[in-house]
Amino acid sequence: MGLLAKLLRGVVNEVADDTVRTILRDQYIENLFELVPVMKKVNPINLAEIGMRAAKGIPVSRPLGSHIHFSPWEQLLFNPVHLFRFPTPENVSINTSVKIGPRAKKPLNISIPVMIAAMSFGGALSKHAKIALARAASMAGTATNTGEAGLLEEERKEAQLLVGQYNRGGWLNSKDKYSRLDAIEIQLGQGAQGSAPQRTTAKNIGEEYREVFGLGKGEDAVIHSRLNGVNTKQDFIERVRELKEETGVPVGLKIGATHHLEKELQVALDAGCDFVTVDGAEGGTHGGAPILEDDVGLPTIYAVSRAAQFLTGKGVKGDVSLLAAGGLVTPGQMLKALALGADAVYIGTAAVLAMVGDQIGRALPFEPPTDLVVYTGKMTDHLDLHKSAQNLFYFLNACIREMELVAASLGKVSLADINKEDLVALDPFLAKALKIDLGFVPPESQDVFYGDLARLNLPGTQMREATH
Amino acid sequence: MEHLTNISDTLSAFHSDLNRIQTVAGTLAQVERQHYDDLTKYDDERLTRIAVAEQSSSRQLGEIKQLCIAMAQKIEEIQQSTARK
Repeated sequence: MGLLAKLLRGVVNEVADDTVRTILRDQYIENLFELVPVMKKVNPINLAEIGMRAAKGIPVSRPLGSHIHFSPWEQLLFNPVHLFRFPTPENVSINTSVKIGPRAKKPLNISIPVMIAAMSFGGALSKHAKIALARAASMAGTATNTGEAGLLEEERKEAQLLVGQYNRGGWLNSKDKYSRLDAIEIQLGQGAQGSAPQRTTAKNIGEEYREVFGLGKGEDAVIHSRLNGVNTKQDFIERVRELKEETGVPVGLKIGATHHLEKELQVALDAGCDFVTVDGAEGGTHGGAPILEDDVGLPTIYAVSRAAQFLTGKGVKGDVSLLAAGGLVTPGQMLKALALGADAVYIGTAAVLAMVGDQIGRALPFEPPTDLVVYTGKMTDHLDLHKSAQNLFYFLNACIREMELVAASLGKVSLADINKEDLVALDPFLAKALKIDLGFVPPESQDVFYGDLARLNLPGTQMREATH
Repeated sequence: MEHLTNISDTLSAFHSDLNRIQTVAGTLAQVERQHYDDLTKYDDERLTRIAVAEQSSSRQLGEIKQLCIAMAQKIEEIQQSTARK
């Protein structure tokens, strides 16, 4: 060991000894260790956000949605078959295509049941990022979504299939724009923001953004809490009818999922919507107030299940497509959402992270990875468009291949054939709520189990029926 | 009546063409799948990339096949309904 190394080792040893001694002897009032219980009590995210609120006095804008895992996807498992029914032979193709809005004059056909979620040019992402998303979606035979924006010509050109959001900002709501879409999604809310208003200030709006959105110089981009001219259910019904007649493409409703879900969906059915998009509480965003992300909405797992049960109950399952969104990041979660009744899913956060992929190093260590893709990012020019599209295409392909493997193991020949009967739950309350079997006991003993559970009358285990 | 006969003949032709497209799409989808299997055997990064593109193409051809089947069924329904008139 060299002299310098010996010296350094001695210094480190002294410092370590002193630190341990201080931590173990000093009272909290003068001990840095105080931060550990504080962090544990407040948690590091809340601690940082307290500081951010205190520094500026305005709501914090947190990217990519809530960090809380509301949906217990890990409590659901698929059931492969071996003998009583046989798995699908490996030389048989698994059908992955889906028709969205089959009742529309011009339904939307996609090759895979995964679409790129609504992330707007300007309000959220840079032009390069939007083009890369569109290109990857086209390569995979699926659709991308404009988000709440105007019509970005480059995105339209790259996207084989483009779902456009008829939005509360009004930027895509003229016939010359929405008649160029392959499906229209009326955006009245989202998982990460509820139906709250949003504003992008003029100082963050560049020339091209202004042009695409049709904004004047110095004008803010405002998303209102209501759609312009829609103040009654009848207004909404009229608007849907007009859009359907004018375009012939599927017209749907997107909402942030809430406990009022069934009432909202009933209005969508009354209006003749071709599809409904439910965005769970885990939904992402370019930047939203933490209270809207963490404390508002209904988790995706319950939203999908409730919406599917509602559509089935109304006898329109299969006629009105159900699109699920909100925090779906693994192919397992996506496939479980499909099994619970979604016809297709949207991915946002996962798509962005996949797109950035190994380019993450270009932003680190001095900037966060999202700096490469968000409109206001300082490093958007460093995003390699071709590589980004390729990365996302590979990600989509890998996800679908993993789903195909599960489908084969379940003995299915189409992803659309996978349903709740292929799932089992590891939690009795979840099993009851989602109407799927509980894995603890055989199928024929389910009722006996719940009866025994009710009779035990354990605190926290009473089913609602048992308490009434 | 002649008009109806023309429509009937046109529908029959469309039905036949759709069946042909469906068969070709199905066959090509199988070929692409086989390419994927063949190319991934070599454990080579560049070949794997080509294989992934083949796999995705196979899925999209599978979608074309499904669309053709659905359209052919629709044509059969129209043919049956016009025959009843």
